Amino acid sequence: MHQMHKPWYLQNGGARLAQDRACIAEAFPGLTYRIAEAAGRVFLDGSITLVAECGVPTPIAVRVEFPADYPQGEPRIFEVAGRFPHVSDRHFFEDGQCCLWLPPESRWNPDDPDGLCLFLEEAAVFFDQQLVYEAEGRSEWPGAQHSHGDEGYLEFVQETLGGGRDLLAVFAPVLLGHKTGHVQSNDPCPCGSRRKYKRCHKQCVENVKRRMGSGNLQAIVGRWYTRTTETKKDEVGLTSKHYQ
Amino acid sequence: MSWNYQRSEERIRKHLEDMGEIQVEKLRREADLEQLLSETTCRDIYGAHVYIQVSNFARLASDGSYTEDDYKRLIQGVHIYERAVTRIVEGLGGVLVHFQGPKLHALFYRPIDDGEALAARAVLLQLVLKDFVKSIFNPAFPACDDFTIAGGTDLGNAIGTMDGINGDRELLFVGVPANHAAKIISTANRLRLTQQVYKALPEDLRAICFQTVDGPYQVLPVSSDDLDTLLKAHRLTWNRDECARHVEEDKERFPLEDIAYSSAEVLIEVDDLSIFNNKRVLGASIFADVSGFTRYIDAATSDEEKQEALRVFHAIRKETARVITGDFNGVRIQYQGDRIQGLFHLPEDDEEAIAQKVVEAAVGLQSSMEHTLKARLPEAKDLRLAIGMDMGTTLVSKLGARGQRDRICLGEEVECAAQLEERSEGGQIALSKAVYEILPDELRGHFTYSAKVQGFVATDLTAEKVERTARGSKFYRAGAAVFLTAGAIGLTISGLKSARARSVAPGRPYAPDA
Repeated sequence: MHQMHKPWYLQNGGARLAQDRACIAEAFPGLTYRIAEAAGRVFLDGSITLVAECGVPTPIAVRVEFPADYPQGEPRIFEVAGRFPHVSDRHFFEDGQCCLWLPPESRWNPDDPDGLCLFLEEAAVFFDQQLVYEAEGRSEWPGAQHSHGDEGYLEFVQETLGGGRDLLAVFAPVLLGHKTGHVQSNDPCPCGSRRKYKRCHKQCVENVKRRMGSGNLQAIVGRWYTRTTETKKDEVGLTSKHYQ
Repeated sequence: MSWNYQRSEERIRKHLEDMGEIQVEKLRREADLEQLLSETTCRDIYGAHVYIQVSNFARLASDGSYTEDDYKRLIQGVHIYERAVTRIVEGLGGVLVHFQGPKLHALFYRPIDDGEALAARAVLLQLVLKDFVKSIFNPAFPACDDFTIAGGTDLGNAIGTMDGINGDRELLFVGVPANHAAKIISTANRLRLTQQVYKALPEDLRAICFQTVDGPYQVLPVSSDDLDTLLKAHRLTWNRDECARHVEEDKERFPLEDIAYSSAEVLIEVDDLSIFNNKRVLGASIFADVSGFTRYIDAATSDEEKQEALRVFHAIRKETARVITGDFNGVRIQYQGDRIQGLFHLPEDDEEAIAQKVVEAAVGLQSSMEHTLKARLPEAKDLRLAIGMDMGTTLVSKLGARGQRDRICLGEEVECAAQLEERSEGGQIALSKAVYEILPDELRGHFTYSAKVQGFVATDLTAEKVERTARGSKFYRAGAAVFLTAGAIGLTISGLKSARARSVAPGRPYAPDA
C-alpha cells in the first residue's frame, strides 16, 4: 500500500525513470530531467533538434510534463519558446501544448519500455510538419489532420464505423446506450447489411466505446445526436404543417 | 552538387583560422597599390572612384544575327578597348581597379588627400573616354554599332584590399564611394558625379557640370579642343594621335583570323582564356551582393571596427566563392567590392538543368549567409545577400595581360542579372522570367512576381526550406511513413529508409475548438 503513495518516479526503485533516462540520453541529448520533489513532479526541459538533410539544425525548445499516473497516463509536450504560433490551426493549445493526436487515437503505450522515445519521435515529426508548414508558406497542414473540436471526434467515430454521418446516426443510439439502440449479437446489424451484428459492426462499436470513453461519447456524440434529431423533428413538423 | 551545413561551417572555420591579422591604416603616401595591398594589409584610401560603362558591348554579345566574323570583331573590339582605356587611365595618373564586363572601375588617389585634383582627374577621365570612344574607337570599328558610354564618379574614403596571389590578383574596394559611383550611372549615356565630387571640383570644371532633377550632377559634353584646354590647365596630357596609333597597332597585333571562340563541354578555365581563346556558351549569370555592407563598413570608425569589418568581408567573399565553385560547379567570374559574380554553363546547352543549378546555388549562398556565416560571425547579423540571375548566350573572356587580368562575361542577360540583384533587397533571390519559367515546380513555387524588382522573387529561401517544402509534397501529403535517424546534433527526418533509421507514420494531429 505504501508503494501507492510514492510518486511514479520513485516506484519500483525508480526503475521507469532510470529506463527513460537512458533512452533520452541516447536519443534526445538536448533534453534534461528536472524533478520538482516538493510537488512530486517530473519535467523534461531543453530542445529537440531537427537536422535537415542539408545539415541545418533547428532546435525546438520544449517542456515535457509527466502526469501523476505516468506511465499509465501519457506525457504532454509543450513548445515553450513561441517558435510557432500557438493556435488551433497549427494544432497547439494556447499554452503551447502540442495536439499530437486525437485522444482516442493516442499512440501512447504505457507498457512499451521505449514509449517515451517513441512519443518524442512523434513530437519530432509533428515539429517537422510545423517547419514544412512554414516553409511552404501556405495555410494548409502538410498531411492528415482531424477537424477542430467535436468534429474531430465525430470523424473518428465515423471512420471507425466505416461510413459517413448517416451511419453515425444509425449507430448513435447504440453507442449512447439508448433503449432504441439496444441490439443483441445475433440480431441483424443496424447498418442494414443483413448480416448478424456480431459479424458486422459489433467490434467497431466496442472499439469506439473503449477508445472514446463513455464521458466523451455522451458529451460529443450525444450532443450531436440530440441536435440532429431535433433538426429532423423540426423538419417533419414544418412538412406536416405545410400539408395541413 | 549541393550545399551542406557542415561543409560550409568547416570552410568558414578554416578561412578564419588561416586569415592573418588584418591591418587597416590610412594611406598617407603614394604607393603601388597592387604591391602594397593584400588580404590582411588594407588601406583606408581617400580617392575618386570612376565607373565607365559601354552598354553596347553587352547587347552585341547577345545579338543572334551576328555572323562568326561579327562576333570575332566584337571580341577584338572589347580587348582593344580595354588596352586603350588602361593606357588612358594610367596616363592620367589613375589606377585601373578592374573591368566588370563592359564596365571600367578606376581610382584616382594621387596626389594624396588632394580632393580638388582627384575630382578633376576623375571628371577629366570621363571626358577623355567619351572623346576616345567617339573620335578614335568608333572610327576604328566601323562595322560595329556606334559605341557610347555612361559614367559615374564619387569621392571619399574606401578601404582597399586584395584577393589572390602573384599574377592573379584582384584589387577590391569597399565603402561608399566605390559603391555609389557605380549606382549613379544612368542608362542614358550620361557622365555623372556626386555632390562630393562637384563640391571638390575646381571652378573651370564646375562650370561644365549641372545638377540633374534626380540628384546627381552631370557633365556637359565638351569639344575636343576644349577638352585639350582643360587637360592642359590641370597639367594632364592625353595624346589623341598616339592613342589612335596604339589602337591601329593592336588591331594588327590581334587580327580577326587569330581570334577564336567556342562552346564549352567542360567547366571553363577562365584563366586559360585570352583575346585568342574565348568561350561563347549558354550560361546563367548570378550576382550576389552583401546588402548593408557599405553601411556597415562606413559605420566602422575605429581601427578595430574596420579590422572586424574586413574580416567579415573576406569570410563572406571566400565562402560565397566556394559555394559557387565547390558546391555547385560554377565559375567564379569576379569579386566586385562586396559583390560576387558567377556563371553556370553546364551541362552544355541544357537550359533546364542550368536554371535549376543556378537557383540552387543562390539558395546555397543564402544558406551560407544566414546559417553558417552568421553563426561564426555574429557581428554580421544585419548583413543579407541580395541575389539576381538570368540566363542567355554569354561571351566569356579574360582581358589584359600579366598581373592585371580581368575575367569578363558579356551578354544582355549578364547585365539583366546584375540589375535584378541591384533592385533586390537583402534576403531576396530574384530571377528573370526566362529562368523562372523553366524551373521545376518544387523550386518555382517559392517565387512570385515583384513589380519593384521586375522579376520573380523569393525571400529568405534557404536550403532547409527548399528541402522541407519538397518533403511536404513527397511524403507528408502522400501519407507515407518517414524515417528518423538520430545523429550527434539531432534528429534527421527523411523519406529514405536506412539501417539506423526508425520508421514513424506521421500522426493525425487534432486541435481543441477554434
